[in-house]
Amino acid sequence: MRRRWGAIAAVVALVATGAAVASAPDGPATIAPLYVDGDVGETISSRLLTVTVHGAQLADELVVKYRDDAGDTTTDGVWVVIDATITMEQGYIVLTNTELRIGDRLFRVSEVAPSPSILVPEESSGIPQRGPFVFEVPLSALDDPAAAHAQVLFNPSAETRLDSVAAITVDLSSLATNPTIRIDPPTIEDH
Amino acid sequence: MTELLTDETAPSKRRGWWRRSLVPLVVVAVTVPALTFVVIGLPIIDDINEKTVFTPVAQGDSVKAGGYSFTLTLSQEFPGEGTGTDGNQIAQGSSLVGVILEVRPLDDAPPASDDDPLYCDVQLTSRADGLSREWSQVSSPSDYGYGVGEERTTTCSLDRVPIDVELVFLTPEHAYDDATLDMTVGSEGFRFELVQ
Repeated sequence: MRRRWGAIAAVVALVATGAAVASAPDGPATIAPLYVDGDVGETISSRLLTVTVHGAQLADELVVKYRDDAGDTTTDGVWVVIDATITMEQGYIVLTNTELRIGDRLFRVSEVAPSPSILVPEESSGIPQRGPFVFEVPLSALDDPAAAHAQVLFNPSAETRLDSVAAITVDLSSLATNPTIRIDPPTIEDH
Repeated sequence: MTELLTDETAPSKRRGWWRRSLVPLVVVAVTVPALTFVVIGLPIIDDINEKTVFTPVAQGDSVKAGGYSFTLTLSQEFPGEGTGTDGNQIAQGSSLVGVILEVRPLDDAPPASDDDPLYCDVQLTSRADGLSREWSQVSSPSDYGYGVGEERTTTCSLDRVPIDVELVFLTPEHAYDDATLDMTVGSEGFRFELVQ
């Protein structure tokens, strides 16, 4: 009798182990960032950052008037300009690791906008700061059906494994391309 | 009959199992705590050792470190009234916090060196509501309509020269009430109370 129960327990343990192994995430997924999804106009909080994306625009050229030494602001592709407000929740972070995901393609935020830039915000926790995040993408990227639900990933650092990351969905497929867009320095928001 | 035999032999069987399993049990008893210490305990101890311990400094008191004395002589909050024409260039809901730190060299101050200049590192910090926050000096106080005193500097450089350092921070409104000024000189840390 005791042997029979032992055999049943062993089989149950084996099946449970098999089910656990089969349903466990694979290697990369076990250490992937924890994306906190949101839409334009929605305020999303990750561990280190609170983000609101106000809108997206496309442009052939950027106009930077607040610095005379701004570099070449033309592009063979198109500029995607994301207007966003960010608030650092605890310590200080730079946002030079922000990415735009269109389908399987990732585009790193451009550092074309000179200092002061929202990518290197004022070192002030709890203060909302608004400014443009600029991405340079090829025209073909906008032809991808995935452009209708592109995502801006506000990575708080290059190392985002198992960290929460605000991921805001923007529709780039229905936007007209402006000849120029004026880029302004970041501002501290009344709140 | 069978039950009688089982009852009589059971204790000796149990003793036999413990005796046979003594070595593995000792190995488990030693290795599990040891592994737990290595995996969990050592990183915690390292973390504690790496963290600077900040010594509290009461309002108006001076501290000595690295051959200098440091005194927080004045601090004040300037609440934002808005960035429009009727405002004061500080956003509503935000405040500028100004802190003046008096730095005086002592007799044992090390000689100034261009190759390896000495600085004190300062941050405004708060632990209110269980949330640890820190603020670094704003890069350009004049952007917020704040004028640094002519006789003061914004950099805490230790050059064997008496200086008054004026530190300016941008914080959420009322963060001042629970904030402290954390200063690090070498491996020593001090936590100054602000003027309330």
